[in-house]
Amino acid sequence: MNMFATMCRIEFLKLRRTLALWMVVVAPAVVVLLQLLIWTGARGDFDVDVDLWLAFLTNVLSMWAIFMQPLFVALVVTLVYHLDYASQGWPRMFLLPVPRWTVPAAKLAVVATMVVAATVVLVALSLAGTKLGPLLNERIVLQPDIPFATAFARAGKVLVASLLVVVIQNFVSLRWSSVPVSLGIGITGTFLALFATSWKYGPYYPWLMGIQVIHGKEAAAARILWLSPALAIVLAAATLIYATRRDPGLYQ
Amino acid sequence: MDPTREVLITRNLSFSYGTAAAVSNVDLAICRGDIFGFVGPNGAGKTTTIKLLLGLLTPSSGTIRAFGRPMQDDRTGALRRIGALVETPSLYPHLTATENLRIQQLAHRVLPRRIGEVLELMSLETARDKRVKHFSLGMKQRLGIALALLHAPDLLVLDEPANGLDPAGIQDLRLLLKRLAADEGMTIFLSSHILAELEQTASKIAIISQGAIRYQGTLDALKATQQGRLHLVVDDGERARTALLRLGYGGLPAKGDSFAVPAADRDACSAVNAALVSAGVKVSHLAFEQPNLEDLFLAIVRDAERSAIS
Repeated sequence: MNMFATMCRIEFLKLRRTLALWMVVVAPAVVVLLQLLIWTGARGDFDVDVDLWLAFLTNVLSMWAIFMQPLFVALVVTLVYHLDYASQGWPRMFLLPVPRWTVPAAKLAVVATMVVAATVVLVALSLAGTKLGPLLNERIVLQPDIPFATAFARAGKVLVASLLVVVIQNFVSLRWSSVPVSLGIGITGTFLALFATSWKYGPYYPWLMGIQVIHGKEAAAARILWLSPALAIVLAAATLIYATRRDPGLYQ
Repeated sequence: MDPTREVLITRNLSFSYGTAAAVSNVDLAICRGDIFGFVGPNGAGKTTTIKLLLGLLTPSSGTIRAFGRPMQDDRTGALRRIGALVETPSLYPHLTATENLRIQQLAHRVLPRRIGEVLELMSLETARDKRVKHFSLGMKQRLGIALALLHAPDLLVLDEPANGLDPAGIQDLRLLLKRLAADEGMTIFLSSHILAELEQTASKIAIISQGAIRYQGTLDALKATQQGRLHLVVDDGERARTALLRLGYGGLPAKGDSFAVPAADRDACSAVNAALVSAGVKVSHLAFEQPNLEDLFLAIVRDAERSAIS
């Protein structure tokens, strides 16, 4: 495990000065800004029975889950892997005196950490954005207590539901060096989600799982919360086995 | 071989890319303290062999022993003792030289001060905080070598290390490698496509062509496999031929006053000259010509190509 921790440190070191790190802040900020603009321009009265803290967050999470997060994951995973494809870093990584599995596992861990960080940033910016609401639109009246626990629990559910997409993107980027393939899978997956909603098994389409835990049926949402991590674990294990057996000299 | 001196041994090492054989039955024996030159033309199988030696490719058959143990039994342990530069240096251009070295330092768990030491060794200390994307080709190559040297490995594997270096850089590298082998007992495996480049450095060489080893041994032994030639210009070819036949030289041309005869070494010059002079032949030109390394190398490679075609 020490070597795995070392490889994670190395992966984070490699991310210095990259766009991938900026995306952790930029992607959630865009969604929060959009929601803030919607609120600012709202003409009707806000429902007094609704907790506006959670209303703002739910809208942000919906945009995040269906659109921004899958694209964020595709972009970040592509950037993290491209660092090694572009600079022929794979042989260098596999020549380090560490077990082979630690190389792809560290990448997966780093990407997962970035998704968690982006989710935390999203919640923090959402709450900050909500706080700004009354200054931008006088019809917004906030409840005095900030529902931190509920906010993080909801965001956590979206995060858990999206784990499968994170692992799918990782496998794609590990298997194919091409940036268009990696980004293309993310974009196509996100786009097809629009059509998958009308399908019987649509809620279990990986790119729809995130939104289902917010707006889907309760039973489906509950199932997704164990199905997504379970499938993610299986696929992650398969990815590591694949990476361990594949000749490192063939990564290019 | 004395097992305590054994660093890297391969037996019948073979590898194919799909159905195309890249390396066949390669036997190499590299001992402690060797500067082992691995030479072959482009596409001969040098880099594939190096990738096999480092465990970056899995051989389709054959075995590799590193430091007395099968490579597959303790790959991590072996890599701890190996520093390598394969093909072009794998450097992260957005990171500085120090940050690139920090990656190796963390993985090999060596003291951070080693980073400064290797940067100084490779004359890169002034560029330590410069991003690698601003480096020249030669600087990148030197940083690649610094990465390989960071953990003071027992075996240093360098694939075409002179690429991109200017003549002074090549000379510095040559001196550095000799010093590492002599003073620190480092074993060095050095590949190149130019045999002459290894002449001043390597204690042993292996020539690879068409994926197979065509020669392995010392450079002196290689030179000894090829006879030199005596070039003669005389005033009386007929009389000279008679004198040379008496000395045991056969295969002489039937006529002409200018010819060449095979000769083992430079000492043959005086014997031939004495014989010709005592036979009354005036010698206006007499020179011994040893085939140079490039000629030897090309002869071996062309021979391999001919046998591959036939």
